[in-house]
Amino acid sequence: MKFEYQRPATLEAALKFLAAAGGDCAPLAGGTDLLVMIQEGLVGPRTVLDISRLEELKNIREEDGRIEIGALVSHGRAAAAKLLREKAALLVESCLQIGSPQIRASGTIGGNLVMASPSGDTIPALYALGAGVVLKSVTGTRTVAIEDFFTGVKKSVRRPDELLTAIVFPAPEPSARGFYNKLGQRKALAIAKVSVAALVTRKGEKVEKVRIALGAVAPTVIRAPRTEEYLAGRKLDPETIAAARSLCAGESRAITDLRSTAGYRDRMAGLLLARGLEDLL
Amino acid sequence: MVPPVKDRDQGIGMTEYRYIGKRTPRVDARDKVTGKTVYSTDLYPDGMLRARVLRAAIPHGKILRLDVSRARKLPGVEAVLTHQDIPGHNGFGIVTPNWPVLCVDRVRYRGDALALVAAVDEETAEEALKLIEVEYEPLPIIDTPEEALAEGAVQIHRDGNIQHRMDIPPKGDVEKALAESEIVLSQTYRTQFMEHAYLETEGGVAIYDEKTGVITVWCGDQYPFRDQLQVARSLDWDPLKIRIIGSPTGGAFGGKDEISVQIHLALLAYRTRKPVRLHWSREESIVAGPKRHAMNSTFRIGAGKDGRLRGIDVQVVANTGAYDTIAGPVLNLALESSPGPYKYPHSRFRGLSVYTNSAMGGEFRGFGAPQVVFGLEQELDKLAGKLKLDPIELRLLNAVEQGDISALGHRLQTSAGIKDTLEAARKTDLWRRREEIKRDLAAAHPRLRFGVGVASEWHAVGLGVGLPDFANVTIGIGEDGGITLRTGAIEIGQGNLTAYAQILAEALECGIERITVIHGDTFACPDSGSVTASRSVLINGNAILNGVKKLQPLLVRVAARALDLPEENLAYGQGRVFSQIDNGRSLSLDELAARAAEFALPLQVTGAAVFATSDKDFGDGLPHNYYTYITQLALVGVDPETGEVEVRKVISIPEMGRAINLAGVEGQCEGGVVMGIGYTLYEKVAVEKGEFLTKGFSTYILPTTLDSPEQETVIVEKPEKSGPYGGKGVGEAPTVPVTPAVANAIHDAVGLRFTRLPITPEDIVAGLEGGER
Ligand SMILES: Cc1cc2nc3c(=O)[nH]c(=O)nc-3n(C[C@H](O)[C@H](O)[C@H](O)COP(=O)(O)OP(=O)(O)OC[C@H]3O[C@@H](n4cnc5c(N)ncnc54)[C@H](O)[C@@H]3O)c2cc1C
Repeated sequence: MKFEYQRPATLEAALKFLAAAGGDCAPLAGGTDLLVMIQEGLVGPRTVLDISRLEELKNIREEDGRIEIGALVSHGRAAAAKLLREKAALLVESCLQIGSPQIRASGTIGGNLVMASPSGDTIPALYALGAGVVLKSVTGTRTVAIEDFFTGVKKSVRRPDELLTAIVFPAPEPSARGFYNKLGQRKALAIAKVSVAALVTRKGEKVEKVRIALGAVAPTVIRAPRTEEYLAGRKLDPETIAAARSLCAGESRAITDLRSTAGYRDRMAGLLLARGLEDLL
Repeated sequence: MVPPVKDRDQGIGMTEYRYIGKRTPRVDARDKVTGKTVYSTDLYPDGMLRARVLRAAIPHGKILRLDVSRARKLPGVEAVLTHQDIPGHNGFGIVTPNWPVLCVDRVRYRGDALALVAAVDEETAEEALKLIEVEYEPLPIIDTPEEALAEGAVQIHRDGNIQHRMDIPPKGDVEKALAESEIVLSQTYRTQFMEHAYLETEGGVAIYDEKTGVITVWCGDQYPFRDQLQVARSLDWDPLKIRIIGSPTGGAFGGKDEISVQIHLALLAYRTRKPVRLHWSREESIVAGPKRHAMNSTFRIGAGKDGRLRGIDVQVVANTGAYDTIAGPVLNLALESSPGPYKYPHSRFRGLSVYTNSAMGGEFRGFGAPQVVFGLEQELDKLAGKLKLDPIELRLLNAVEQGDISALGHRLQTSAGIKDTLEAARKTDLWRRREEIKRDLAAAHPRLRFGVGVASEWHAVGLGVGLPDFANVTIGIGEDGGITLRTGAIEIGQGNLTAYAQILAEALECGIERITVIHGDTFACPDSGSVTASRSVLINGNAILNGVKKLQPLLVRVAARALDLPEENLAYGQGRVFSQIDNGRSLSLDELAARAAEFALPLQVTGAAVFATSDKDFGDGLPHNYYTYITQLALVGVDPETGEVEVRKVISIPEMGRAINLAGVEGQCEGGVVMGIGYTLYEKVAVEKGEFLTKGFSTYILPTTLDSPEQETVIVEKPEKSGPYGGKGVGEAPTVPVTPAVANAIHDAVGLRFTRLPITPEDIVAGLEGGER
């Protein structure tokens, strides 16, 4: 377990270094995933590029109706941020579901996304918020819709010379309500067996728009388009919720592994949606 | 004034004590909390080498070729050892030493060791492991006893796949009793392998001193003197030149009673003549170290309509893994524990321990009991349900008392307080008001259903009849009046050092701060047996009292000389020697110590104790003569839609004779309960085709504080006259009935019974659906 360690002072220097490293370089943010992977021999980068002190990637702000969260914002910081507590409560909920206080103090939202685990807790919430992922390299900046960012288990479109610098999403309408519901193998320090995030915008009694994302039930976090379509334009009453529940369970494509069974996960995807919707009533 | 001679009834009467039964702060607490305590794996001696072990790449196979020549040539490598480098016996094991130190021609599980490397650093050692070439001829892999016992199954050992068979001589005629019983219940329960998960994984350091010929091993440990012999046997070395320092150990729970790193370290230190350090990774600890045995237990229980138990027939099959270690006694204790503290006129207990290529079964807090008590106590709940009897009533109706004949047929000669614990359970608010409590909770949490469950256990204390079951201590008073107690016992986190100091301070009627306990070092302490079987306070305590009996006359002798009075006119009391004739002249301990030094009279004694044994001997340590009795209550909330179980409250009601340290008993109960909840709801070492699927704590799920309930400990005392101040032991029992208490509470909440552990949300949802789980 030997590697070269670099800690650039600026984002620019970091990007230059990354470009020159030609791929064999792992950015280090909170290290809560990277160090475990190195320890277990799953990755063996020649260089570890410590970006954890790049202050320019630690901001949370709102500008022109868009909320931007720097990649290095830790889960704990995000959960405490007034702006997010007021305007993106479901993201705050998802951050609070991560690991333990220690993990939340070091782990970052950018790291959670780059890990591209289907059970990453912030991902369904960011799907529901309709987020975009900002990727930067020496050659330029691009913003990728979060649903296009992931290509498979632990795979994304990020190129090795790119850093994820920020997450952006439109500030939800004041009437919008969301939730993040998760089941793990225990109450804390638990990888999601299944999770559901949703953001519901209502007009009067009726659902105007809803975005639903399911975690840990497919190789990437997925949307539940048929359920969304069904809910749109309807009043959230017990029958509607029951129907949405079974539709959503049907959209889950879970597998059986050490943590849970396919059947349970599919069922719970429906249940967690239904409970979230009930709580909005 | 002459002090009254203190009541020497050893706590059976109502004597007021200064230390016994108090909440005495732990003597080792401050150093542990401030990080001053040095554990074996905290040692980094100058110039030390790092060792690594090459483990089997497949779970079962012949070793066709083992070539370490390339590894030996790697720069920085100082030694690569194979079985050819073992001077003595190539095997270890608490009972039968057939677990190879380094495999010769066959591997039998994934944790088997083939070669040792010592190198200048971890990376080089790791690199060297990769250069070792092994060629295997794979053999069929056996995961379960069913496979191992099948016709034509591959034989894991030359003598076959049955490691141990135990049939306790039947009592009465159980078949007839069952045939005549109005109610007969039968069910098979299945339990999983469980990991100890100590904070400190197995590890240590060894140094060979060429001048003295002494090899010193610092290691996580439970019985340094047995380790000394096991190391000496493999190295063909004088045991008196093997020094084992095993204390303190960062958690053991039975898992460190067996050899882990000791022989490997000694071999490498001797070969390289340099300090060597070996510290297992978490994965190595899970894969190579012993686990709680997976067992299948089948119960047939007959009872009358009056609720009286008529007969019990139990069959237990244990998955023991590849080697023996202590599997026979574990199976035996499972059988002894299986009827519980109840009377049955007829009984039969049969067990098989079977070799497989799965995880290694071994010693683990509870020692075979959790596996069977999980089943028995649910069967009793079923019986209570059928008879519409209160579950505590049913247990009380059948519970044993001191003097009764047990289910196995031996007389219960020592204190037996199961009825007292059941009575205390019945009086708790949780039990009395359980319907109301459940109703209130359900009103506050409409998505959940609540249940309350009860379960009891008797847990053997001591090794059992026929086994060497002793302790020795030494007690010395120095010139400055400081008292040194030496015991071979290891501090594994259980708080025994404090209990010893309390017992000694109480007996000498002196301040506890005078006492220093030196422990767990074969060159500094006498052999006090293993810290296992909930035995160490009882037996070391008795040895201490025995020592004090010899120390007091010595102090009197010093006083006689100092005061120029005849010994018969002097008496020891209140930490002084008093004259009984001339108006109470006396000498304090400090004065006595100083005078003893002046007279060159050493104030140094030994104390010894041996366990009293049962009136019967069924062989292999069965049965026992002392038991902890315990009843536990659990309150759970179950979410019937997600299947999640929350254990909200557990009350432990132990009867451990006398509680030497209240805080110590509470600590054992609270820790035991969390461990038991892990076993019930979360933990499982998953092994398939001999491969471990759970190699770390991201897949092996331990309960966190958020998963731990509110706890209460209600201590019931029934002092045992042959125990120190009436004490017995309490280390294991609190881990055990919590499992069926939770299972019974789940049944109370949602009406489902589970026969397999752990009980998962998936099981509960499937069960409520009525489907197969
Ligand atoms: C005990 C424990 C519990 C955990 N519990 C949870 C949980 O409940 N839920 C959950 O979702 N996760 C959990 N995790 C995983 C982890 O904490 C999160 O995924 C966390 O968000 C990772 O962020 P990090 O900053 O620590 O990433 P790092 O470990 O620093 O990096 C992770 C990966 O992303 C890359 N990377 C990081 N930042 C960037 C960037 N800005 N640009 C490009 N590449 C980057 C790294 O090179 C690396 O490959 C847990 C981890 C541990 C150790």
